[in-house]
Amino acid sequence: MGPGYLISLRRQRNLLDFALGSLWRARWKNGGIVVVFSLVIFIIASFRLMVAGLEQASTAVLATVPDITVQRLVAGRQMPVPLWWVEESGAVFGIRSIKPRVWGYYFHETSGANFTIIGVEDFPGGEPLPGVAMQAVSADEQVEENQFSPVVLGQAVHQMLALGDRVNVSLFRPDLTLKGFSVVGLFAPQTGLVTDDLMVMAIDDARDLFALAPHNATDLLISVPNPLEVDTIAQKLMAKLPGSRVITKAQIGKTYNAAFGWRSGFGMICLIGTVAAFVILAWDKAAGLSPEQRREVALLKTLGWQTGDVMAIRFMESLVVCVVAFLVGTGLAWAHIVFTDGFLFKPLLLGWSVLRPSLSPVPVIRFDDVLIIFVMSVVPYLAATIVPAWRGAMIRADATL
Amino acid sequence: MLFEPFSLALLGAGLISLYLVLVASFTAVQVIRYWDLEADDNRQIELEQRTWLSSALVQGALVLQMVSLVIMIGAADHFADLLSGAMCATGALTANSFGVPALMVKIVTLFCAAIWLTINRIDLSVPTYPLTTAKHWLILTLLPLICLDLGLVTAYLALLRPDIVVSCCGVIFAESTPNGFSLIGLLPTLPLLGCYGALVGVLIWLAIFMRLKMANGKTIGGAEAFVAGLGWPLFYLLSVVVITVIVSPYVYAMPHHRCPFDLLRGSYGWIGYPLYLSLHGAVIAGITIPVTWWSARYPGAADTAQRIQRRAVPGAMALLLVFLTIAAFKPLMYNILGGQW
Repeated sequence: MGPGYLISLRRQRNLLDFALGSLWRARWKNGGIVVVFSLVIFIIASFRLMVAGLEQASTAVLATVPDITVQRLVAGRQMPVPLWWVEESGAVFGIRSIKPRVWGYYFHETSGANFTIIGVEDFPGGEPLPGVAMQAVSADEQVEENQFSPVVLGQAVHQMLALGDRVNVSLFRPDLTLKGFSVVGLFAPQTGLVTDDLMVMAIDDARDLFALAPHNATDLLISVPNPLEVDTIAQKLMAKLPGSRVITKAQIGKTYNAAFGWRSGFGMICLIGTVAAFVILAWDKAAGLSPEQRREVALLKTLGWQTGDVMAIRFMESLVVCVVAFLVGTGLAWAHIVFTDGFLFKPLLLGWSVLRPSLSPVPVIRFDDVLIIFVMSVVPYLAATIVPAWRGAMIRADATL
Repeated sequence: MLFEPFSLALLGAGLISLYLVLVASFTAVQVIRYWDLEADDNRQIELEQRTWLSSALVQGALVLQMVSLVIMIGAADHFADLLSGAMCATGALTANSFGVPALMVKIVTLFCAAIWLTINRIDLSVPTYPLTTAKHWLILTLLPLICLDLGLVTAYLALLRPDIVVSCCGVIFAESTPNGFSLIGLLPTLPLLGCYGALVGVLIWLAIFMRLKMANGKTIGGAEAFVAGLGWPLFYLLSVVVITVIVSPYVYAMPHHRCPFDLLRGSYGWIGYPLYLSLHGAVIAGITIPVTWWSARYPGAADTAQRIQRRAVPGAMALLLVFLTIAAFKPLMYNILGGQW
């Protein structure tokens, strides 16, 4: 004997011991449940962890987004922005810099892929994309020697163009004349979500490639040092520039999160059917007691066990099954994300374009996600086994023996 | 935003709780109508078996409700990243008129759960099950609470729109705002702290008094139980106000940032978790005192009830001190190291 809590602890340990023994005696049946349950948890957890990883990766996108983007709409369609908008916007206080940008899509016929071309000012001098790591592939002197326009490529573009060790590449203008480029750098692979389909070049080269008029740009990138002023400045710009569409960084971030959240929620709704089917299986397995199990309960009752004790054993059994299945399922899901980049669900969450960003979702395990996976899988199982456990425990010793 | 994973988890938890309590309610109705310990007919034997089921079901539901409170806070925090204008959970919860009531009902359910679990424990420890009828009445009162919770959560989630601009805690908990939209405002700090200190003093004095009484082999009287039953809920409400208005700006080091939820964020060292855990633990232990006093009057229940009391009183005190230490730490450090005095 000892203090109350020690007795209680010893009781729980003995119950657990008995439950483990009981699980082992019906190991084929319980093993089957663990396998199926692990699979269900694996699917739910993969989905959730995948989304968490994508949310994490999308914050990398936000690092490259300017505080305010100004576009021009005519009849609801996006049109080039005239450069006099730059001077006009400069009159608003609180702006650090305004940079025009030219961007668009270039269809590469050989590979059937669309590349995203971005033309920026201060290129190749400054950072091609703020906050994105880049590795240089050729020295500046080599570019000068070749006398082609400098360009920085994403990893996938580099592969699609099959450049190998070569640095020169030609693209077609709209009139099918060729424009030559020399590759001066590649974006780092870990920024794949943002940069895989990118070709960054000087703004004048981009205008030349797209045959855009010299006084036009696609949009304006505005940097605002004080984050509290972003919304006010955005409103002033909207009033000053008729026909403009002004987008702030915060809006883009919220849209990303809402889109990922919605998609993963929809996916989870589809998985509810799987969980429901499993719950029915669990109910059925828990309700169907074998004659040996009935005799066991009857014997325990004869020895003085109460209904509550037998139910406690059944609860322990369910808990052990849940914990094992939860660890196996979540572990497999984690491995699925880390080692296979989540190949099962990636198409659903990222889209189907030819040049899909080959992104590696960062495997983040957050408390919230674990809780969601737990509530969506373990809780229905535990809830479904209460009533069968009680029915099994209600067996009358005199009737069974 | 019913399709959000957080929403699905919340709705799932709510639906499963409702299912469990609903099944238990059928037993509750039968127990209330036919329970008669003296009888030895088949119906009584079946009822005695059924009470095990209802206990297990309600225990499951209440534990699930506690988990769902944690999910609700996590969800509100997550929704703040999706809603325009929301910077933390306060903005997300006030995005429509159902968020705050839903949270309140969840907190009330948490305390009801603690009361029910205590009564259940006392009841099961006595061979004559003296509290069975009372316990099942309580199940019937829990049922509308769980329904209300599910209804409010569903309404809150269904009406949550990412494109509607919401307010942030800087506005909601500000001292006085021109548009009068303020949850906690115009509360003078010194009188508030004075009331709070007096209440804490009363609770500590009460605990010492009860401890001495129990040490002398006496039992806790109705007056002490009454004061504890009144004092601890009041302490809970005042604590939430004090955390929001006085403690949180020191943690954030921003006079106008008054938010009870940002404390749970990693950027503030997760200080909210020990703070709220100790607060809720202390209040639950505190309200156990009147519950056990009431249960002890049933025949045979006194032993277990008093054993729980002997743990609840020092438990509540220890948790109260932990809570006060955590709550006072940042303001004190600021005032001592910040050269305010």
